[in-house]
Amino acid sequence: MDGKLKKHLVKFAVVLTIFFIYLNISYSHFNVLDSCFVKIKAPGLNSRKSEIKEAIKYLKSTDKEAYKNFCRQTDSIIETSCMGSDWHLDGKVRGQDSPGCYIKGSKTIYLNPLILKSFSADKIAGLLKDYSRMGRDFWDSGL
Amino acid sequence: MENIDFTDGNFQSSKIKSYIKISFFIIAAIYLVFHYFIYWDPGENCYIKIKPAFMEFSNLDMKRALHTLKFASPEDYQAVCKNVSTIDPMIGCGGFGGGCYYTKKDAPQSSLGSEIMVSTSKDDLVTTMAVIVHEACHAIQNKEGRPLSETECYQADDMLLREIIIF
Repeated sequence: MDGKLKKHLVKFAVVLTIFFIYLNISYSHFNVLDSCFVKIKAPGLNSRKSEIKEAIKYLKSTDKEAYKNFCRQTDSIIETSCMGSDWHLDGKVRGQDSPGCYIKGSKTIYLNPLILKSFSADKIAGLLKDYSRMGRDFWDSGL
Repeated sequence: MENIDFTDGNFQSSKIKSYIKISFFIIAAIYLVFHYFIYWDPGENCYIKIKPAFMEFSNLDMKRALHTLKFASPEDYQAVCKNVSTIDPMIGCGGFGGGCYYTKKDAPQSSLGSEIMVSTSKDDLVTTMAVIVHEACHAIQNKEGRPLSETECYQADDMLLREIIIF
């Protein structure tokens, strides 16, 4: 391979890697010191990413124990409404108006961005605390 | 004819280098195939192929849904493992965000009896799990020679959703 072309390819690969790392960090809560890495995924157009990040910071500063548990029990937050039942059966979806939910068997929390719109950081932090406690209960005792 | 001295150090090292390169590519290819296109859980005797598809971009969400199902609802997980051999993430008759199941009669390819189509969007763990369980329910109906009833399979995924989601 031509030496110049090789150099350009390496440069391109480095830029691409940096870009992906940047994207990953900007769409997550990332703290090496606390061993805390939680992805924030927004499949729809609505996203409250910055409010969620702020709420995580709030949780860290106000309730260390709950923050520790949140980091241990959560690896991703998905910003979408909870689908707690199949609408094909009765035309209704259980929990669609809920601000969030925990998915058993996972380390995933769902948060509804449309409902979060009116929530303050401490209220979102409260949700994160509750859902990660549900995660701990599931993994510790299967509840 | 050119004479090659096999005792020559340079020749030997370039041969070793090319072997290392080839081995690296083979190992990388095997790893990528296993990582993206095969769900394997030897403990539960579960082996499911996941076909590549442009819409899904990454099959890791599908693998994540199967892995979550294992802990969230072990009975559903075992039913999926027993009755589904292949997941095709392409859009089928169920459209985008849904799933699809063809009987062998509808599309007489050899593996279709245990193949399901799951075209859920990326990053939607719950819908992916529900659609997998729904389509696996059709695969069971087909295996047992029963007509494909939507109501029964909607009830199956509804039960799963009510069981695994806590508010």
